[in-house]
Amino acid sequence: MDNTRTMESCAQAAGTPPPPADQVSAGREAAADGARPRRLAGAGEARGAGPRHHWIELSDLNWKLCFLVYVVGALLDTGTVYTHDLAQRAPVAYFYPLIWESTGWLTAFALLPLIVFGFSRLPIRRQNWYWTIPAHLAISMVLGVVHTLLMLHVRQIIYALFHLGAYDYGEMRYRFLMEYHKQLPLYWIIYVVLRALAYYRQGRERERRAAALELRTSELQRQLAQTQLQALRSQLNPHFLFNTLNMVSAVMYEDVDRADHMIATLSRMLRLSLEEHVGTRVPVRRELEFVGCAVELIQARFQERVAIDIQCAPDLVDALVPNLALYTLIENAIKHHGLEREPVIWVRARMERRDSNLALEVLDNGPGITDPAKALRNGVGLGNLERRLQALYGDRHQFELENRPEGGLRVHLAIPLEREGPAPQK
Amino acid sequence: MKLRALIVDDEPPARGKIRKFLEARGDVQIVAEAGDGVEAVEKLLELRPELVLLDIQMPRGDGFDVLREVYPQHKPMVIFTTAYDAYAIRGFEVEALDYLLKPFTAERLNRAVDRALRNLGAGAEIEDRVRRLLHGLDRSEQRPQRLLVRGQGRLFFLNASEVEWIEAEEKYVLLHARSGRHLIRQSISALEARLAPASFVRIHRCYLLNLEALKEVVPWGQGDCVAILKSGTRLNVGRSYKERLLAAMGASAGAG
Repeated sequence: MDNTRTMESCAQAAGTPPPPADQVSAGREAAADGARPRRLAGAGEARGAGPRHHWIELSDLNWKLCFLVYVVGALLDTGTVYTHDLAQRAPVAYFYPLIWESTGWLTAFALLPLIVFGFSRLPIRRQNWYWTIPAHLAISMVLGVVHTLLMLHVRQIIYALFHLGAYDYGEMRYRFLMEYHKQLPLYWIIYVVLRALAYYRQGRERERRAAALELRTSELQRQLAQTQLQALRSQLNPHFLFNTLNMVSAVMYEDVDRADHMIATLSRMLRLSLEEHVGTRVPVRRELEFVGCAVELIQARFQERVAIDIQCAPDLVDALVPNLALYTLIENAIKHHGLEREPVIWVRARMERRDSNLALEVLDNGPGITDPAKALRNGVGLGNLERRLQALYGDRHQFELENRPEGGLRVHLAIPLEREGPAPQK
Repeated sequence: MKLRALIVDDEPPARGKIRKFLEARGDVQIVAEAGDGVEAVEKLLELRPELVLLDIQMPRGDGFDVLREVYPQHKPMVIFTTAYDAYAIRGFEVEALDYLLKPFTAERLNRAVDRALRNLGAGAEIEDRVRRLLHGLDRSEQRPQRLLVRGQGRLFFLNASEVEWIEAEEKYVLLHARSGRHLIRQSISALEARLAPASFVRIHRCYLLNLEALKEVVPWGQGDCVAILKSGTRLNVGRSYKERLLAAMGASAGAG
């Protein structure tokens, strides 16, 4: 009778909020239990990947707080028994219920690590409940007997110490049963609290990782924006843009139709540059369209001083090339041509299939390059193209510059021939 | 009296537009037009206009190459024009020199010409600024150094990087380039100062060497050494220049 209400107070105690989060996840980086494949759970659990092996660990609990909960439970129960006896008009000294309840609660506290350990090593899963639940029932029974015996002996020792006479707990057979009635729900309440604790910890962990992921995503987005901006600038090369605008503004005084045509061509180029969803690679068709516009405007500027000839095998129009690859090479040929010795700049580009490669060759009659290796490394246009080729194809590409014996530069570029269209399914 | 002006731009329509704007003013006489760097040098030295509208980006020598050649002999008022050249623009800003961003309006051009007219009397200070601008460009590695040379009967600008070594010959220097030899009228000391940033180093009282063309330096006799170029040419290294050469080689190896 003195123990009848213990259960409720246990439930209250068990229902206390979980320990603070910093205690819960102290020093833990590892993946939460739920993140691992479910079939790993169970017997092989301890050898799981990552430093965290169990869904709950002894260190997850704030033991000081647990102790406090058990002490409060003991005090409340003591009060309950004491006042109950007062109400029954059979008061005992406050001393006695204090001994009974505190020994009951504190020996239960001593067994708490064992319970947590049991739950941690023998987790109940959807796949194994049919044997783990009975196993836990058996464990709870054993622990119940142990608890009752422990409690009994501690009380006997205290009684002896304080000369209170012999402690008699009556017919032990029934006592074991009686205690088990309280211990069984307590056992499962502890399980529920542990589950709640693990759930809370996982939530925190997930939140933390989501925040980290978000940070990383925004960083990636920033980089992407940066790259797009750079791409935009390389396409709308300000030099090219303002020279063309100046050209239009001058030609307008002489030939309105021609100026109008130039504006239309420039607009087409701008539109292509501003197109969204343009990847790092584009079909040859699109590259040719862009280069065609650029060549038309360059031609308008340099007139008879420049001759650009581009040839592309018709079956290559849907092949993929790095965006602006051809444009970069043609622009490079014109940019570095000082017209010092040759009165006309000529550039000949040729795109063809060679085995499983797409080969692009660009010849010019400019001054050539003093140090081709250095130009590939440090050159703004060529260096940038080389880095992009490296990123896209790794060792599967060739990019060579050489001064032609008869003067001028030869650029040779070979990349794996890949065509536009949905990626092949594995 | 009208202000005599030269228009330099490689695009004929652009020259036409400037001509149209200037003629509308009435106080400017256009003496000629030039479409590239060499032509600009020739016309500036021949016609000696007081004002030049000078494009920066041109074939056969850019606007700065032109000024560098012309300025020692003739100092016109300069209005620079450029479509987009962040580096040059920074130089103009630093020296507070007038420049026009293409395309420009008639008003903007008129303002620049008005200012040039006002400054005609007080040229000395502006000359200093132009000299500082050119000097600053010499020292930067961003722009290729170009030397005006005569070859096969015509003038052209030669990239300094194409020159392997330079030999002093009295008042002239002989440039030994991949494409041939060119004589220009300039002192080797002046060239040394100008080409130092372009990896040229003096190795002898009479020789200026492009480090890019150097293959190796080998000892020769007692304390002397010889520079062997990639082209096979052998040049004596003057004793007092040896330390300088070795230091420059070390520096370029470190940088490369």
